[in-house]
Amino acid sequence: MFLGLKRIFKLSWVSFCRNQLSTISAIFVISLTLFIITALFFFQGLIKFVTLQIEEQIDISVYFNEEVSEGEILKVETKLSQLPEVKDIKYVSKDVALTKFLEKHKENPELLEAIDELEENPFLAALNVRVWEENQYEKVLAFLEKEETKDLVDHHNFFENKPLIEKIYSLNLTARKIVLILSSIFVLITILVVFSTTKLTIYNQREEISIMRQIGASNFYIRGPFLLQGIFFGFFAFLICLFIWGGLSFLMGENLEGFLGGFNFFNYFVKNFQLLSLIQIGSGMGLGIISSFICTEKYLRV
Amino acid sequence: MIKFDDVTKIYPTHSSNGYPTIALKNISFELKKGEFLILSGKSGAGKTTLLRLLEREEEPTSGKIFYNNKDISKIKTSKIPFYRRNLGMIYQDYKLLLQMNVFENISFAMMVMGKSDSEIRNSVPKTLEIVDLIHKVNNFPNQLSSGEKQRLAIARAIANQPEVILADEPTGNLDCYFTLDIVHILEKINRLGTTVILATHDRDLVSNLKKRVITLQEGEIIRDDEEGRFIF
Repeated sequence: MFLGLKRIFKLSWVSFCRNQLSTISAIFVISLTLFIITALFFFQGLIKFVTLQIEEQIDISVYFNEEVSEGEILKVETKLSQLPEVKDIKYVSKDVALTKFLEKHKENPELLEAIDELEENPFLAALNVRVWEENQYEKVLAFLEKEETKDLVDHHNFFENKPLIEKIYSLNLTARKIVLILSSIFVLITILVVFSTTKLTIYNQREEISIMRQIGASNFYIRGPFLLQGIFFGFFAFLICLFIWGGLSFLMGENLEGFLGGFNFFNYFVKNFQLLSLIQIGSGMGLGIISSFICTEKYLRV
Repeated sequence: MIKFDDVTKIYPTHSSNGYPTIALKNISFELKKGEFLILSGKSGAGKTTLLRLLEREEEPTSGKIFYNNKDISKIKTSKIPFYRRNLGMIYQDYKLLLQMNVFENISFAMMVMGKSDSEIRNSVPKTLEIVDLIHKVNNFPNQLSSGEKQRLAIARAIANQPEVILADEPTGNLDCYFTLDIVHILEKINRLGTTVILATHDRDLVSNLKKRVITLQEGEIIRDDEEGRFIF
């Protein structure tokens, strides 16, 4: 078995080096496929980053009655944070709310004057709650409606924010769907192109396959080199694509960061290097092997 | 060793007039180990079909073919490559592996038989010496003359010392000088004990060889002579 594998490796490497035209065209086509797959990987990373940025802005504020103490509010916070639906919760005291308001409107003297005229802090203490998914806000509200917390809450702004929240989540969902559909279409097209190129390469060698069969070569010896060549094609395409995308992301990284709202291509590349390499090498070699396997099948029928 | 028992081969739709083509009809003969058989007849007489049936490239429509008393139609598809290793095949169009050089063409045939590397290293030069091609060991097929290509095809066919050599018009593309050359090599192989089946329509070749000749006409055996000559 080891001897057979060694020979298959040698045969495929020799063929890989000698059939330069088909080797170059196969590597080019697989590189193109990997380039598109990587571009889609970056694109979905960008979409995810942007939607995350938007989602970060979405929360509901639960305002507590004037007389509710900070201790009671913090108890509610602890209970709320234990709900699996809650992603993040922040306590904003009356003082903090006032400070934030003053900071926000420091250039509006009329408003500051109006606040000054009031003897007491007009703001209510609040909990700003964020959930994982849009429909989970209802569960938070249901919790607040319970007997133990019902009387503590003055009001919340869920119903005011609801249309905006729904719109943002719907946009987010649509964007992800579009990425998924586009990815599927591009991947399908490129798979078909790789398949056709491999088919053409193997078609050109059908006579040799037939000769090999006639001199008694088993499928292992005929198909083996083609499959290994598929791995070589995938591996070299992976190296090329990694090099190109490494360079591209480095160049685009800081230059586009401001334009893309803080998304840095190079940081994303470095952060996802292992996953990206795995996707590239997996799809490159996978495409090479699967297309070679399918294409040789036709000529291996004895 | 080889027995054709009432073998008929019909191609259902291959003829130009739309009717089935009868390539072979009720073929029966036996061949002993070490014999040299010439299959003679015009083009289209059925010589190549007979060889293709023997190498299990195709199956007979009816009848049976036995190799060493075994019905070859019962060989499983996956086992056909192993059966073919008993046969060395030589074709008019050489059927060489163009991406491989002379050494590799022969070593590939030995590799698939599971021969060791040292065995291959020792045997290939010896085989090339038999066909006088040792000086071209690193050449690729497209760097060889027609005669050299055919000698390489023979070297590949005999590399694994098969029991039978099937030669389908091996001299069809060669001039008379190379033809004699090839025939002498085949005779030499036969003298060493290998059974040879030579399909040819070369009149001089058939008449001069003084071997058993089966003559085919329109798919039927019309003569089977121990020391035959060309009829048509």
